[in-house]
Amino acid sequence: MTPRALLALETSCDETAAAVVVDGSRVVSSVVSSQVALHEPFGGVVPEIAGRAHIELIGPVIEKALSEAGFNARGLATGERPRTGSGAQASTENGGSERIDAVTVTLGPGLAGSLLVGVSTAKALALAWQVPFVGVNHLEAHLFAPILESPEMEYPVVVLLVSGGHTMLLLMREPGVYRLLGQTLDDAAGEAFDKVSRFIGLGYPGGPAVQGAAVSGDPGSISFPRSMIESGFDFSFSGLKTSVVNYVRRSPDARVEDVAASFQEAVVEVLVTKAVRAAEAESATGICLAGGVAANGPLRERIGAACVQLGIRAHLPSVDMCTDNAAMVGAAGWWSLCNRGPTPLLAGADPNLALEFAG
Amino acid sequence: MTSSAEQTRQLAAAVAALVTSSDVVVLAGEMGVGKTTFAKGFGKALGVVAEITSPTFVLQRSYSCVASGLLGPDGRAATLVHADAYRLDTLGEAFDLDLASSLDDGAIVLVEWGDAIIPLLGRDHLGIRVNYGPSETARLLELTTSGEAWQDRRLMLEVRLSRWRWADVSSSRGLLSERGDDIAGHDHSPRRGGRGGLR
Repeated sequence: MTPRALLALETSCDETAAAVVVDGSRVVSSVVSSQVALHEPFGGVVPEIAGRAHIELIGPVIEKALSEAGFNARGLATGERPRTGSGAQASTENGGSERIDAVTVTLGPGLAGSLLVGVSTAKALALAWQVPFVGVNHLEAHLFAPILESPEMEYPVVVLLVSGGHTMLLLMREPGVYRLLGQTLDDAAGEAFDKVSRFIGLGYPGGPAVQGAAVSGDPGSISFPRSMIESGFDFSFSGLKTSVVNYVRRSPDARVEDVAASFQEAVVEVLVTKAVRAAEAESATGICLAGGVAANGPLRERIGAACVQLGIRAHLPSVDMCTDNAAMVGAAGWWSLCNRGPTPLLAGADPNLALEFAG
Repeated sequence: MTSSAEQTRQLAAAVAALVTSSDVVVLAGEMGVGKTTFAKGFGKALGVVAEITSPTFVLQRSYSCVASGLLGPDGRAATLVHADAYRLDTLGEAFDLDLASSLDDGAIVLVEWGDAIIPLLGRDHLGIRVNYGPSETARLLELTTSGEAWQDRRLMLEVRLSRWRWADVSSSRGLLSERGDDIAGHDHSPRRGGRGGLR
């Protein structure tokens, strides 16, 4: 029997998240920890990397995801009309599923202590409910975010996966079949945003802070380097970071807004140039954005405009789907269960789990 | 003093030649100064073939030193753990990295922004602070040995690094000093010292 409703968990990094996804494409509930009001001592505090925070949060987050989707703690449909969904994607029907058919979770990559919380919880629930356990790769889950929102996607597509921890250009021939075109040789794009933001006094997280300040800045005022823009599909953002430091030390009176705008312009130009070049080289039918940096406004606009010019499609996931969430894990887990089968319960969290590439 | 990123990588390789199982190397210095550049040179010299990228987001990455013949206590290729304390707010969070068990397993541990978590790293370590130099590409590196594990290697370090010793170290800070106080004593925590002097 084809599995229908999956409970998905995600604890690879800062967010504790749970979601119920039906048929691999319908997000019935999607909860991330920042939405859950907790009692002391964690009330109002966004959990950081410590596994302890995940332990505190995972129970309430799962409970909320299940009840919003109309399931009880035994994974069975309550028969009640599900409460209103939490995310923009959440639909209000569980599709007539009578029970949770499988539990899926991020196995890695990520921080060992954090991953362990999600993986142990998922295994425990799978055992208790006597349903299959499915481990997924966090990076592959990110690739399923655009698919969730563009189910009619035509392949191959070029995916620009940009987050705090990763910057990769991939060719997706179909779900599950990927080729790595290039990746960062030093810092991830999101990391560069965070570090530069803190350096110029804009705070954390850096993406929204830099983008906000850049609105009233002149992106052409400072010409920061576009490292490696001329050739290849690899990236380097470490030198750009150093250039910002050198510039600010030399010109302490520079406007923060101008530095932010010029820095953002340098990052976005490199990302867009390489994604477009990859799409042309691979005759892709579209470009997908994925990962937290895909929430950046100018990046989305420029990718969109470039795709119009190339006559191909831009797949720009909603902001909620770009950042870490469990709905994408549910989509990837459902696909994996249908195509690769369940994961043995002996499989553990793997902080260094790599994405598998074909050809 | 090094005059380019390439020279910083070479100096890192010279340091790496003296490193052995369960050693701790603590990297300090401001953002963008070249800590990851140092790590790339250090890892390459230890025989890491994979691209060494910034561990800031994932907190640590492990590499196998496959190309150097350097072996760990288990007789397999030695492991380099490249950790990063930039995002850590408290020592408790750093404790979760469990660097102690990595060291017990014989891994070589290189910690960026490690000055903030020195209490967890034990007495024996080599401290390296990378400072911006007089030109945009120049860097002044200060090395500090701490504990017995490095005491015996001070002389070797001085010999290995003699080609960079011509640097202007006229002020009170020498290129090579003993004890970790000057590194551990300052508050160079990225969260608090990050503002770069803009209005």
